[in-house]
Parts: sequence; structure tokens; C-alpha cells
Amino acid sequence: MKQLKFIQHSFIILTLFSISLFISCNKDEDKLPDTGAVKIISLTATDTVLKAWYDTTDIKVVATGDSLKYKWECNHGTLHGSGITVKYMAGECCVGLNTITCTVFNDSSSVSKDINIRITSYFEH
Amino acid sequence: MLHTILLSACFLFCFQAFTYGQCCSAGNPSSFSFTDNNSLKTKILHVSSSYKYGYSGKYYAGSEPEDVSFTAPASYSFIDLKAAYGISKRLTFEASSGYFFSKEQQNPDPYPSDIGYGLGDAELNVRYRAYKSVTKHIELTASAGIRLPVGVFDLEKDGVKLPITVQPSAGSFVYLAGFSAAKTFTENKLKLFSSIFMEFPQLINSKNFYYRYGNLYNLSISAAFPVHKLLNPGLQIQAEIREHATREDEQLVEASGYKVIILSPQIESDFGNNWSVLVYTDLPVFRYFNGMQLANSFKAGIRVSKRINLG
Repeated sequence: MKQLKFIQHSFIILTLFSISLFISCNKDEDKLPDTGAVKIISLTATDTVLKAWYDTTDIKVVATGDSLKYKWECNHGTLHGSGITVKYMAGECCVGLNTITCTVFNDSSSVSKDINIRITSYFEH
Repeated sequence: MLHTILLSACFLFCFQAFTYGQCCSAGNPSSFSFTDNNSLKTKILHVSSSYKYGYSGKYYAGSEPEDVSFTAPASYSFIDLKAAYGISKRLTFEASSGYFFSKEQQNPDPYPSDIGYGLGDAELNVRYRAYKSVTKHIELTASAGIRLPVGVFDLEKDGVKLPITVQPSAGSFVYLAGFSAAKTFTENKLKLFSSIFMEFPQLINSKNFYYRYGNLYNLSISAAFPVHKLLNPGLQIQAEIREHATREDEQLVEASGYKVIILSPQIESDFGNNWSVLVYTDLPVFRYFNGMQLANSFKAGIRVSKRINLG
């Protein structure tokens, strides 16, 4: 009888646990090696100091290689656009030195470069 | 009746020093409106699903709305599924997860909105009935749990990663703890609840992201007065504090953290064979935000639940 209860309880707990552990939709990032087939020549921004919620900057990457694709991410703030140029902006919660990373890749190689943008407070004059 | 009023006043007095709010949030929406905190009886399974909607429209600096030259409201639309089971007369196990239909941050013109969607994080909780008096109709329950970062955290659009604020997952483990007290008055069926919940987010430390959301403390007192099986109105007052977040090199994020007081009216109806539906809304009545932050304007939700006896 005790074994039956144990099995019953275990089954229910496992069912509840499985509800909470849905398969996540994490997508593997491209982790191709840097074989030299892709090179980033420059990663530049029109401004590197921005006022929160007020200023924006255009960030441009120049790279060489065949059939290039571009991926952008930042640790704080928002990026808009795609391809070789994106626009960066950030709110008051992102005040500080933030990093924008550009990854350029094709079917055989991948290379990344960072650029830092400082966000100052909306209240600073 | 006098006892009821005195006890209510005592609860309010105890919690008036505390306060609640929200901005730049991540992960599942935290809503403590009429959370079912009591332990279940042995072999009782309680299954519920909630739909929650939240809207943040105004920026606040301190306790005053800030007159900014742009509009950039945020909103979310979320559904969860929760199951709780009474393992013994003292112990209840609970698991839940949810899905964001949308988690949207609008941007100043002419920039398009950032919209996230997908599976949220999963939560596991254990509730322990520390004390129960059948004669005094008092129940004390402690709880502990963990929120697992199993949700979507790498949404991107056209090769550009969306900001963390619209990613469905919080990106890190969150430890949970709580304590609640419930008292029922037999003469008029008035029910009083009081609870404190705490969230302790852990560091998000990924390839190019280093951030820790501030701890959250939520205190609430609720009263429910059953008028009819189909009409159980209730009112809750919540006081919530979110501490400052920290980023690289343990820098304090000045524009993070808040103190807010929320009023949450609700109506619950019981029907059929142990079915129940609950409708509620969260209305902030006091807000204090550190720095300048987008403040929550309101939240609303509906919960359908079913109690099943597996004994």
C-alpha cells in the first residue's frame, strides 16, 4: 500500500515537474571558426557618447569576404536596422559604457568586433 | 465584528511603512494579486491557468510623472499554466510556466517597436503549512522555490538581437521565498490574508551580458467577503520594493528599483464541480521610481482553476 502511494505521488510530482520544464527554444548561435575568409576592416559609430532617450548613433561595419551575413547585439540598449548599418539608442536604465558587438560570417568563417558607446543621463546638462 | 476591524487595522498599520512598481523588467510578470498561498489537503490537485495583461505608459522620476518629449509605452500579454498538489497535509508542491503572446516596448518615432514572444520561465515551489488551528481558523504557510531560466532569451529580428527587456526569459535563476497567514471569521465568513514574498534574481553572466536585477519584496494584505457562491468580492493592498540592479564591475544602475503601493480589487466565482474563475486588476496608487523609469499603469488578469480530489 505504501509503495502504491509512493508511486502515485512520484508520478504526480514528475508530471508537475515536466510541465515546468518545457523544451526551451534556444537557438544555437553560429560558432564558426575564424579561418580568415572573413575580415572586419572597421567598426565605427557617428557618435560614441549619447544622451539617454535623446541621441542616436549609426554604427557601420566594413568587412571583406564572400556572401557575408551580419549579426548585431548589445549588452544594454536597443538596435534598429540590419546588414552593414544599425542605429543604436538607449534609455536611462542603460547609463554607462555599453558594448555593441557585430559578428560577420559566411558559410565557412565568422569574426566579431566590439565598439563601446557611452550613455549619459537624460538629466545631465 | 470589532475584532475583525481591529485585526484589519493592525494588519494595515503593520504594512503602511512599506510600499511597490516596475520598469525594464525581464522574465515572467510578477503579480501577487490573490496568489493562492495556502497548502492543499493531501492528494488534492489544483490546476489553474491565468491570462495577464500589463501596460506601462508614463515615465516617472521619483514620485512624479516626468514630462518627456516622446512616447514609448510598453505592454505584455501572458498566459500561464500552474499545477499544485498536496503531497501531505503539510506539504504542497507547485509547478508553473507560461507563454508570452507579446512583450512589447514601443520606441520614439520613427523607430519600430521591439516585440518579443515565446515561452517564459518555469517555476517550482514548495509550500509548508507551519501552523493550523481549526478552532481559531488560522493558517500559517511558508514557501520556497526557484524560477528556472528555460524560456526564450535569444530572440532577434533581421540579425539584430532584441533588447533584454522584451526577451521572454529573465536569463538567470531566481530564488523565491514567502510566508503567508490566513484567518477566517466564522460569524460573517470574512477572510483575511497577509503575505510577504521575496524574489532574489541571480547574476546574468553570458558572453556579452553581465547584469543582476534587484531583489524584490512584496507585502500584501487582502480581505475577501463571500456574498454568494458566484460572488466573492475581495480587495488587496500590496506594497512592493525592488532594489537597484547592478551591472559590470558591480556598478549600481541608478534608474532601476522602485517602491509602489497597489490596490487590487477582485471578484471570484465558484461554479460547477470545483471550478472557479477569478478576475482582478492591479492599480498603482503610489509610485516612487529611482532615476527615470517607465512606470506600470495597470495590470489585469483572469484565472480559471479546477480543484481535483485524487484521493
